[in-house]
Amino acid sequence: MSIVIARLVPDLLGLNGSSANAEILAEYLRHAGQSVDVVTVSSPETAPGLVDVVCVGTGSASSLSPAATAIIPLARVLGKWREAGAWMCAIGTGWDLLGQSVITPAGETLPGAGIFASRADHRRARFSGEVVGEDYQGRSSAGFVNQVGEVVLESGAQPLMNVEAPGEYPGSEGLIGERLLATRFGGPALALNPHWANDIAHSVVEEAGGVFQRTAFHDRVDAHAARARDLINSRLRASTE
Amino acid sequence: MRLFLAVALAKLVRFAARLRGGGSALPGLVLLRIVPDALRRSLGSLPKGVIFVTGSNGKSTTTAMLVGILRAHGLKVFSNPAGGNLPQGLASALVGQSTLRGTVSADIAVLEVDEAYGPQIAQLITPSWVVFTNIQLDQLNRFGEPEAVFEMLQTLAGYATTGVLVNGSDPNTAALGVALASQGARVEQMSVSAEATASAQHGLVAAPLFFEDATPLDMQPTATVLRVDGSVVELATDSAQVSLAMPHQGLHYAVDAGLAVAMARHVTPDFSLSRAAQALEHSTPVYGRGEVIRYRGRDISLTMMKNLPSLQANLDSFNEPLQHVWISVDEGTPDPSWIFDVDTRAIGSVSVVSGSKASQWALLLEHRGIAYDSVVEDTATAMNTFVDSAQEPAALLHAIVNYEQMMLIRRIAGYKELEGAS
Repeated sequence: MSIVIARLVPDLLGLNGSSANAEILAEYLRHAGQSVDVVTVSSPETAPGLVDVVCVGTGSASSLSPAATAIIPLARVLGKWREAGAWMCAIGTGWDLLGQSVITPAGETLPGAGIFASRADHRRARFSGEVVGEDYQGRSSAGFVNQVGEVVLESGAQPLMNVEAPGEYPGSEGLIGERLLATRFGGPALALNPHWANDIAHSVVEEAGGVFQRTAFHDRVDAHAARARDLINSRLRASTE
Repeated sequence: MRLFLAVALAKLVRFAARLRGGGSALPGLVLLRIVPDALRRSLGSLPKGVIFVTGSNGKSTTTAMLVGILRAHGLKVFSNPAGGNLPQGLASALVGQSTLRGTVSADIAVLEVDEAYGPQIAQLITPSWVVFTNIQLDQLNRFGEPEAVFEMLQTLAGYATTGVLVNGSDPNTAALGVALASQGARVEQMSVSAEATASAQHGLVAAPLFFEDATPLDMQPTATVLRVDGSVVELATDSAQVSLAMPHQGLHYAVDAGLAVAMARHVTPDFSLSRAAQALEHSTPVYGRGEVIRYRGRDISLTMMKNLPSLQANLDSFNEPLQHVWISVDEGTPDPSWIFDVDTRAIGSVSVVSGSKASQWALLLEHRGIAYDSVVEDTATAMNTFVDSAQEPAALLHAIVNYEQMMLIRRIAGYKELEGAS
């Protein structure tokens, strides 16, 4: 039986490589000997009965409202998948809309799907730049954030990582929880941080009673990602010295 | 007197900078520092005015093509070399092409203008026309959102004294045209037929429309790209139709040609489509765009990866998947996340990946299952590895590079001239 990854409304929430995280996770699993299907879900009518992972990307300012309109009808389906054990992996605006609420730049409050214990406020200024730190397991993690506003975690929610640089970025980033991963790192966050792909993949394979077979692909991906993160780290340190 | 002294000093700076092999923007900076209104004083009274060409992609090529067409019609044209599209670049072009008194012998100016600096440049020299090539996903780390570019172009359009020409086949420049027309501006359009659009696998690689319920542009196109078959392009105006063989193949070059023809049609009373076609057929590639350089006896074609639409359009123009490609990207592309949105089926195999963003490209290649031989961050070393490992001695080699790596690679290959140097 195949592992099913749902890619949520990629037309609206797939900016700047962020919808590729479904593809990245799928390849990570396929190279581990798993059969994987990636399905696009844009409405409850096209949603499969159950999925193993939901991936959602980020969007531009003009896509916020239509994306919210598309996500809200999916809230029940998402809740059902979550109850059945699906992972939720969300990037940028997709995370915002899967949270509790989003305040638009104009001050309007949009309801979220209620999956993540977080609230987004798009009235704050944009941050655009590289960010590095250590994640909840002390692993080097990095990415490029290009997002407007801020996300506030609700009481009890755990950040995905502590931020080490740059200094102007908030001290923590993202959200990690029981089969939940969210980050403002845009683009292919799982490619640059394959340890997160690894966490999700192992969990999904074990849940299905399978065996994750690590291969040379995973070693190469780890090595390239580590080098890319090291260079980001070096750039940020050089810019502050 | 002040302009004379400023131009003289700037020309001296230009001479010194060229001896050192760099500094194409410096003479312009010097000129504008001393005479901030130098552009207006030198170009403000040209008999046929000033045309700005701006947008996400195609600015340099459209500008070069328009200049070629206008010159083929006997006009003396002042222009800035490709890439020198900021105020200092324009002023440097003026230093290079003006007399010591700051006078320019030209009938018309065609200026490539950076989309973000457009309004600022329009305060230095007022455009009669503005050509909008497209609004695509570009430099999101710089602009934040593509919507921001729309607003910049809308502001710039307000400075045009005669009118604007929009690419009517790009949904966002078309929407810009609708918005401007509703405000009473003169708006002309160039269009691309559905058949021509279908000639490229991903069409015009347009960004999604940022607005709901856009009304279509309803004015008759000044020029239409009817068909594209490789490098053969069929263009039509209201009174003529022509088939021509472009020096480069690809829908995006045909669109640039259509815009150049349409703009020339409006500013040239004796416009001849056949004369325009001849000029287009003899146009040379703009610096670094599809250019073929020679290094250690091998010809290397440089394909620019400026942003998602430009790379996709360039990849779409190849008939067969490229083999043994060299990919080189550095900090000039601060956030290469968008490469994961590129349809990479046109890349069959990769020889070497280089530059400081090599690891991020290697991650894409791994996830797409595209074979690559090595990752070598140092560009000069990678260039030799690439050439040494090439199999067929006479075959054209292909490199996919960002702008900064293109400049570096040209220097390594011994090409001295700088972009923006006039």
